[in-house]
Amino acid sequence: MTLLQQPPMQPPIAPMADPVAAQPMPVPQTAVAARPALEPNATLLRREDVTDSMAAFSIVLDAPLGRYRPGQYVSLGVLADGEWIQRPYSIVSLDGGADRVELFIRRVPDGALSSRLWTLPIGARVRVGQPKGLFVLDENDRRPRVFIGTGTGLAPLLAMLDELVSRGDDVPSALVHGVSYRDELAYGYRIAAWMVTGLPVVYRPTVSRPDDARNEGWRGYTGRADTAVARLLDEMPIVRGGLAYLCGNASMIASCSEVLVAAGFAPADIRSEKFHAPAAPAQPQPAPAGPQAAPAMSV
Amino acid sequence: MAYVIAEACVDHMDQSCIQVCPVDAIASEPGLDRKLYIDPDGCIECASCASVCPNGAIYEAAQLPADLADYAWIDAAWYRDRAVAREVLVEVLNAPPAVAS
Repeated sequence: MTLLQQPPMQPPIAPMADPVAAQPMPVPQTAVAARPALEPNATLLRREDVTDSMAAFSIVLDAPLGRYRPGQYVSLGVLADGEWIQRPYSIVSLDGGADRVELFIRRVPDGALSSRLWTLPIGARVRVGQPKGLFVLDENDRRPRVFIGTGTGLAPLLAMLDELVSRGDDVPSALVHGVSYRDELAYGYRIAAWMVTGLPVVYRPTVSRPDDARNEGWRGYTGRADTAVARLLDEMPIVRGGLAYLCGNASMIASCSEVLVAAGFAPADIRSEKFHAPAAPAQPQPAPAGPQAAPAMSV
Repeated sequence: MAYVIAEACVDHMDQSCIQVCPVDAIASEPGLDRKLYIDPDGCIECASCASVCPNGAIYEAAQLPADLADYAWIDAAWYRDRAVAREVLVEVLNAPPAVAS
């Protein structure tokens, strides 16, 4: 009798409460060595608050990170009650000898990790993984670039712009940063400093709730990112012929991609990184039915 | 629940998932494995892998279609006993199609 003629198998790790199934498949006896225990490998150096729920975290690593391409992320982990809680965050900058990493993080309601990050004292030990991800600056493409990020989605775009500054890049670029409130517009000084060094980047922050008291006095773009992108493309037609890099939530990526495609961007030239919703049982997840992502996007 | 790599990976093994997993929870043994495997103990459910798989092979465990349900066990078993996991994979691949109920 093969294994398949037995009743439905259940995962050995977390047997499901299935009243119809027979006893679960036993854990294989010849168990390989358990996954090696994770160890802390970094230290929290500083937290700079942007708002009460967004902050820049500077972390010093025990050893330099391995190969890193601007746009990538690392996992950041905190030990809580003997268990590691890890989440991926995009690298804003990697400094020193690749041993100091800056992350731009939003504290999400009921976020398992982010709620703990704000309680960490300076000097707290954490764990940082190696840089991962395919949303990276295309270093061989010399066409104009549009960078579009919402909230902390600005993070990988800053890393890309930082790289362009380092290389003395002179190709026209534009950065749209979409936020709800003007005080969420982080890194304005850094962006301005890049412009001073000669980076040809047009900076277009946009505030989506212009009537909120928190945005009093705002005179820049208003509306969500897709509105700002459409306006930017009108004002700066030169960037229509190049690449677009988008980072934020799925609906922003979808709506901005529509605007970009309508303006003539090739779908293959629209690169995106979705900020993933926190893992929660109540979160509806559409079952993938085939190759991931709409044709307009590549991650 | 963790993510699971199902049948569409077999004999393709694109490996984009490995490049995006922030916690290195995806592995396989070159030359011996026909697909990649997600460690349910290591998976942090960030969905980066599912986003990039060009073959649409990766599902959140709770979203696995009924005919792919065995892959949750196979992925988990690989991290305990690779030989058993590979045997079961072969059986699953060779099984006659289930009759629709």
